[in-house]
Amino acid sequence: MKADLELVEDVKAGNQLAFAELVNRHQNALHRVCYRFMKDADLAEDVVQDAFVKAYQKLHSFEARSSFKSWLFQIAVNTAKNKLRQRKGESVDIEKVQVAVDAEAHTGMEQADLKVLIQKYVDILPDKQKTALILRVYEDLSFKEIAKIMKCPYDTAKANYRHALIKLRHKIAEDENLQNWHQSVEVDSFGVPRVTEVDS
Amino acid sequence: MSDGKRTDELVSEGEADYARPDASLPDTNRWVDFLEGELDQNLIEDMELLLSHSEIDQSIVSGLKKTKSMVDACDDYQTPSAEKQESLHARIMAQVAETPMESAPSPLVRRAQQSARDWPSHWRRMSTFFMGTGLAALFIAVLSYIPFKNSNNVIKSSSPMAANAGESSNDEWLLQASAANPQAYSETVIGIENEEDMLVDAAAGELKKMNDQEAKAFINQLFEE
Repeated sequence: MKADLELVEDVKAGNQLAFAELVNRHQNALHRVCYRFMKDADLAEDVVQDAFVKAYQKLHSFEARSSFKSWLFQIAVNTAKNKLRQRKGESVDIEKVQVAVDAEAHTGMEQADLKVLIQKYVDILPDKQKTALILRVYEDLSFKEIAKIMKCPYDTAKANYRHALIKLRHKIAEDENLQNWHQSVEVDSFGVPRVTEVDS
Repeated sequence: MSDGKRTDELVSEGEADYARPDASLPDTNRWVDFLEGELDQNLIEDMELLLSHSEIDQSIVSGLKKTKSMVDACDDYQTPSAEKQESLHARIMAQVAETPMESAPSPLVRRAQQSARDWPSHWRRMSTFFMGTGLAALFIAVLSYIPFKNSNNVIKSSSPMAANAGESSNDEWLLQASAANPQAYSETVIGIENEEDMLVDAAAGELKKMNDQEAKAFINQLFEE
């Protein structure tokens, strides 16, 4: 099986089948990342399509300074952000926003509601922090890769992730329902955390 | 955070036998780095020792881990069906087939892009700042110079006639204005001389032409008048 960079060279030489193989390899990962931003599978598909077409157009400017996947992610994340900006304007700082939850609904919330609440807190994080968090938590990328995708220094990528996680931790601590769920999450001392269902 | 203090207290009380980790980092940030495996091995050992002694730090670490796992648990992504994946693939390739690939940039452009990328971001910011400040200063200087320059052309008079005459080089207009109101014209446009001043000027001119005797006689005549 050819490596990504070999396929890229084939595409540059005019072989479109090689690009079809690249699409096949990365389409799902790209769709997953785009979904985190767009929150809609169909919109995410549109972003994936745009990202691949842009990547094809600009393939000659890809210099293999990073992996082809990181380069694709960079294009996809930027495309998704631009689409989001067109749709809802600039993001809002989490510190200034209190997610609106009905007072009655707030008591005795079920886990599905709590997940929605946390997703809302993630969504209102500043752009860079949200991107760093998504790429780290959901995509399990290294900070080096995240820095490449975000086009920023390594330390900045790390700082954005830290700020995002700490802000969310404070938000959870402030919210009674989330706090209950938080307490029910079991974490091994150095192992993988386990999430248990909350008794409702 | 009072973590630094806590560590000091532990050391002073002899409860912890370790070198204090980098005190310049805020504690929670340091614990995030610890959880993400972003610390040096020797620092990790110190942090683990600190963790085993400090309940507050255990609570911080546990909170961060739980937060991360809660965010992870909120993932509602579902992989699209094989059919949808194929359809997306086909759509992408159809559009790619119609899209021309841009040609490779010239080596010169490539080198310029490379140096722009390699230029540290803070220098980029600084140069943008200085360029902006320079342009703003130039703009302000031009703005302040324009009225100053114009002020040289404007006759300091409340008379509209004087202002118009000073700014105009139209001889015809000047002649008309002087014919219409000779007094105002002589007082505002020509100068501040009155008729007596003009007589004195004329007398001075005449005196230069006279010899001493003629001049004395002329002056005596003037005083007598």
